[in-house]
Amino acid sequence: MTAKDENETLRSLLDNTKTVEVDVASTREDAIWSTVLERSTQRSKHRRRWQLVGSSAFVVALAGGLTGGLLPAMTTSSAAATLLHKAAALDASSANLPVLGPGDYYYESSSVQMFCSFNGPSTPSDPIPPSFLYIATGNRNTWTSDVGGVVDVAVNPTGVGGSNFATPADKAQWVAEGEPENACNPDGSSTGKPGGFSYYGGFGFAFQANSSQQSDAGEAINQLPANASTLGQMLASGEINQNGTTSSTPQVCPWVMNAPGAAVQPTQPVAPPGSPTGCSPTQETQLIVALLQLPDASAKLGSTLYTLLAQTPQAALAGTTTVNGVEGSVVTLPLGANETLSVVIDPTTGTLLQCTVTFLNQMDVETGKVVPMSDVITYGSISVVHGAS
Amino acid sequence: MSREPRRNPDHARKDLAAFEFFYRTNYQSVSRYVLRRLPLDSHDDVVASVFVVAWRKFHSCVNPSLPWLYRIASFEVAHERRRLARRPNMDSVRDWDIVSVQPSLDDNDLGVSFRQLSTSDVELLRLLFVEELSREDAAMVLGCTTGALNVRLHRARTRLIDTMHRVSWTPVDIETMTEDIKEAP
Repeated sequence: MTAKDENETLRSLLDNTKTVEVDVASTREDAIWSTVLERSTQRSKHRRRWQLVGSSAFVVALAGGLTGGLLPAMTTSSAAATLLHKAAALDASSANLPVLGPGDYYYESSSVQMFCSFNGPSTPSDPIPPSFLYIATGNRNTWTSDVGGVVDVAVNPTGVGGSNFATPADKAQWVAEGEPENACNPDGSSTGKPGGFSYYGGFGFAFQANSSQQSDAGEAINQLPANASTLGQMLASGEINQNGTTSSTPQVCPWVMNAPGAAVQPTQPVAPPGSPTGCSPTQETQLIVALLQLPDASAKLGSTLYTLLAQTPQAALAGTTTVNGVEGSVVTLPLGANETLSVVIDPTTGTLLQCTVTFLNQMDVETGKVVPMSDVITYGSISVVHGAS
Repeated sequence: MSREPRRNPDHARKDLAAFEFFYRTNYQSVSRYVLRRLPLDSHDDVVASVFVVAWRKFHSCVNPSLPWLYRIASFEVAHERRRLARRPNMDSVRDWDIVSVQPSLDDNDLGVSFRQLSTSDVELLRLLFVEELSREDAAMVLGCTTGALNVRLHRARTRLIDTMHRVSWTPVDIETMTEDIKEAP
C-alpha cells in the first residue's frame, strides 16, 4: 500500500458522509438559507423591541438579487418566501429612524386609489336602487408619533388624478338616473338629487375619504409584540384590531365583525352573541394587510409582518412592475375567494413601494360581467416634521 | 418595509448580499462537516444554527472564513450532542459512527484502530485529512495554538500506531501510515 493509498484510505475512513446524505443536504441549501434569515430576524427582534419602546425604531427592508441565480430554480411560492424572509432580515438589521423630539411627528404622504360604490335613490316603483362603481384617487397624509397622530385623506374630484366612474356604463346610467349625489366624489358637484348608501372598499378605517381623524396607531403599534410567533398567535386569536389596538381576551375576528374594541366599520354587522372567537388564516392575512396600511405598523413591525406573510403557503412571486419609475418585485397572496393582495418591494433598496387589494367580484351594472377593482396605496417617503397639521 | 432611506441604507443590503455569498460558498463544506459528526436528522437545524451565529458575528469578524465557520460548527455540534444525549433511550451520543457508513471497511483493521481512538484524536485527524485544513486553520478550529496542535497530532499519531500494533496491521503498513501522517498537511 503506497502512501497515497494510505492517505486515501484514511480519508475515506474518516469521511463518513454518505453520498445519499450529501445529496439530501444539497437540496436543503435554499431551505436552510430561509431558516437562517428567519431565525436571524426573530433573534434580532428581541433586541430591537427595546429600541421601539423608547424611540420608534425603524427599518428598512429588502432584498437584493431577487431575480438572480437562486430564484429561477425555485417555485414562485418558495421564491416569495425567500424574498420575504430576506426582506425581514434586512428590516431587522437596518438603521432606525431619527428619534422624535417633543412635538415631532413622522410625516408621510401616500397616493391612494380606492374603489367606491354608491347607490342612486330608490322609488316606490323601483325599490331596488341603481348602483354605480367609482374609482377615487387622492392622497393620504399621516402624522404619527409614539403617542398617536392624525390621518387625513383627501379625494380628488371627478376627472382629476384618475378619479372617475369605473366604467363608461356606470357613468351613463348615473346620467340616466338624473345624476344623483355621488358620495364617492364629495368635492364634486351634483344636481342635489339625493344618492343612496355608499362605501369605500378595501383599506378600512385608514381610508375614510375626505376626513381628518385622530389615529392611535403610533401608541397602539408600540404595544404589539415584535416576535412573529407571538404576533401570529394574537392575530389567530382575534386579539388585534384593524387599527393595531388589542383586546385583552380572544374575540370574534375583528376583520369579520365589529368585535368589542375593534375599529368600527359601519358596513360590517355586529357580532351576534355566541360567535366563535379567533381568525382564520385568510382573516389573519386581512389583518396584516390592514396593519400594513398604518405607517407606524409597517415601519416598526415590517420585519415581523414580512415573516408572517412568508409563512403564508399561497404567497407567490409574480414578476416585476414599475412604481414611480422604480422596478419592484411583486408578491401576491389570495385573500379568500374574491380578493387578492399584492405588495411591491424594491429589490435594490428594500422599500415597500405599493400595496394593492383587488376585488374580483365587482359587477358591471350593464353587462353583469365581473369587473375586478383595486384599492392601491403607493407609499411616499417618511420625514420628520414638527407639529401635525 | 420602511419607505424612507435610513442612515447608511445600503449597508444592511450589502452586508446581507455578502453574507449570502459567504453562505453559498461555504454551505457544502459546513453541511458535510455536520453530516460527518451528527445524525442526518440533526443536519438542517445545526447547519442553520451555525449560519445564524455567523450572521450575528459577521459584521464584527475581521476575516470570516471556512475555519471560522468550523469553529462555530464545533460548538453547535457539541451542543447538539449534549441535547441528543439527554433524550430518553439514548445511552450516549458518540462521534457519528465512522465505520457503519462504510460497511466494506467495517472489518478493516484500520477501522478497528480508529474506533479505539478518542473523539478528540479523531476530530484532529479528520480536520487535517478530510476537511483538509492546514495545521494553522485546524488549530483555529480547535482553539489552540499551532504548536499545541503539533503536539496533539504527534500524540494522536502515536496512539494510532499503538492501536494498530494491537490489531493485525503489518509493520510495513504501519510504517507507511506513520510516514503519511507525519507528512500530513
